[in-house]
Amino acid sequence: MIYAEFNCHYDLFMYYSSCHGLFISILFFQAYERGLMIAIIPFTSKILEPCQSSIAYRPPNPWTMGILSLLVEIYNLPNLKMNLKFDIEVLFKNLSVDMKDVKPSSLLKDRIRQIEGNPDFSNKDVSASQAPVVAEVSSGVMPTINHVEPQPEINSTSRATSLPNMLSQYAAPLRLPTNNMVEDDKSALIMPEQVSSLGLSQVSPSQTPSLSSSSFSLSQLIAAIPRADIYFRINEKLSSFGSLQYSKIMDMALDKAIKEIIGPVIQRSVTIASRTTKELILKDYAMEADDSAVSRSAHLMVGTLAGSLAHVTSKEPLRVALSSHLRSLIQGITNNTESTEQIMLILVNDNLDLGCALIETVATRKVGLYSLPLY
Amino acid sequence: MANLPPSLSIGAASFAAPSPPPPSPGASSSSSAAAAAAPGAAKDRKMASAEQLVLDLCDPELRENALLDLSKKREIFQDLAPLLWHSYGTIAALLQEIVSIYPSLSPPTLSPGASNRVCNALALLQCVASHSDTRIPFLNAHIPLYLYPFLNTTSKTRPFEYLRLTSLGVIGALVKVDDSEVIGFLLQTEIIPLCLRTMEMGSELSKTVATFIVQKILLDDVGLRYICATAERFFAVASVLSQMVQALADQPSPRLLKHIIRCYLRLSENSRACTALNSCLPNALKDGTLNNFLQDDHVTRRWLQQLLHNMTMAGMGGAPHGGLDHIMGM
Repeated sequence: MIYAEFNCHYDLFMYYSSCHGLFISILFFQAYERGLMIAIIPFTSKILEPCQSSIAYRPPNPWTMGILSLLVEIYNLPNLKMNLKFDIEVLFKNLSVDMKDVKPSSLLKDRIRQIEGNPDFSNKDVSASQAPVVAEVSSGVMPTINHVEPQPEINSTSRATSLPNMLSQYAAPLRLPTNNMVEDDKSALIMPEQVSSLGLSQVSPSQTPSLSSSSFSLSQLIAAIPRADIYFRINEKLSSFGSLQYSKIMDMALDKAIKEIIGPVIQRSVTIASRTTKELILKDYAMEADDSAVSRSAHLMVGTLAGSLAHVTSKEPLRVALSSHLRSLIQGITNNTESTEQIMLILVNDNLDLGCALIETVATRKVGLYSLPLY
Repeated sequence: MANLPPSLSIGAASFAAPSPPPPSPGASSSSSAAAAAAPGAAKDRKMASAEQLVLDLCDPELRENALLDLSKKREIFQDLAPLLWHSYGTIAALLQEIVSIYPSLSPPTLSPGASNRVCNALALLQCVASHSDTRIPFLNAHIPLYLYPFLNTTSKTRPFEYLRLTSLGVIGALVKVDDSEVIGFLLQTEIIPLCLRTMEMGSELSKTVATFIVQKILLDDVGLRYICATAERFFAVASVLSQMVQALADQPSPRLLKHIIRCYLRLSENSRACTALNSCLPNALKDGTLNNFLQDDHVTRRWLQQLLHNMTMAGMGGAPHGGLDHIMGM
């Protein structure tokens, strides 16, 4: 009678509990989200343990099996702490139920649990999630270093290269062969087309977005040229043609001529030099682990190549443009056509290399602004 | 011929402190001494000196001598091209040699010594351009574009003539294998105007190489379409070819004539170009004036006959002569 009475009381308790089955489920969900399963699992385990003795609620009672399914789902969660796993295993053993025979529920999939300080799960999960943050920080630092460091070297190198060249050019004796003019005009007919054509054909789609910023940077670079330091060579022979403001005329003509031709020249030179440098540096430094060494070499190489190409490519187009502007400016001052041509030839031959050196400087600086697509 | 040993493996230590290479005269003397001993040993020493010379290219003090030696021996070393391309810093050194003479192109102040030195570098680049394994990487790096300023010069002095001829040799090596990728690159980078300039005012040898390059471009379908795409391009090529035929009367050159006729024949395979040729083909090719040059060259004679036949067929079915002139905008 005592046993029967006890059993009756337990069943009554379970009967009342089953009427509030939703309560237990909600209790589990809240425990899962807030990291309280460490309390609710032992509690549930104690409640369900006597089911084995109950006629009504022993497995496979649907209500009881529902709770067991939820427990199996919890048991399979990654990084679940061992003590919780152990409690669940003991419960199944006491109920003589094989965990493999119970299909896990899927009630917790859409629920987000609190991660920080959650006592239900081990620390592996937390440490794994922190790794990307560290990698992100380290990758953010490198580009800045690469970009800043090479600048001074490039400038000093290009200046050192340009100066001796300019000096040696000016030391050369003055020459005014008439035949060269004809040949130069002839070559000029081909060069401008070639330059502009290469400029157009070399522009790839990936470069299109940077064109607007490119032209802006180009204007800045041109404005940055220290024009106050520019000293034009004015030949003494010119004094016999009258007291004209040759320096002023030269300054205006050169400024117009450079602006006229510099766009396609820079575009072509930088594009070709970047491509060559990328291919050769990647080949030569394939085994190099030091990124800064690779970047330094790449910037030195691309600056030298772009500057040299810009200098040699701009010479004839600049001669044509400069001659044209000088002719129109001088004609506005003097009426003698023959003397106009002579004045123009003298001014062009004496100052053409100066103009090319300026363009070379712009190309060398310009290419430094690009971040080479080496990787 | 024995293959070269595996490519040089230059470790990080070599960068930090490269060992001083032995002097070239010593290497040469040991090589010549070994030549008397055994042929096999001589080959090994020559191979070893090739590697040493390639290393010397990176040292500005030793570069000039290394350039000279390597360009002399480039036909002995079958695998010199991969050695040049894949060794550290070698191609960059050759590019340095090229851009360093840009300032002497205009005004033309190139000295014979400087010309010889850069032409040795160009000879090595020609090896790279010729080799099947290094041709495409060479093209991908756009290295031929650094030679275009040389082809754009007009000075007739010997140093410049030699410079242009050697530069054309590099381009010629690229087109020899009839690779459409090579032709596409050359068309995109406007090589044809540069070749036409040389065909107009170059020496006989330069003219021959330049015409050979144009011929190879025409033999490619894309090249033929490109040149015949506009009347302007077609007449630019046709007029230069015509000038060259006229000049042959004064300076006979069977080799050059062969390339000229081949260009004309290929042009005649394009229907519009073939029709246009009726109005601009030099009479010297029709009236047998040049037959003396072709007596022993049966291939070229057959080409010429085919050319005249193509033009005759086009002339029959074509529009009236006057109308044609109007259409072509003459």
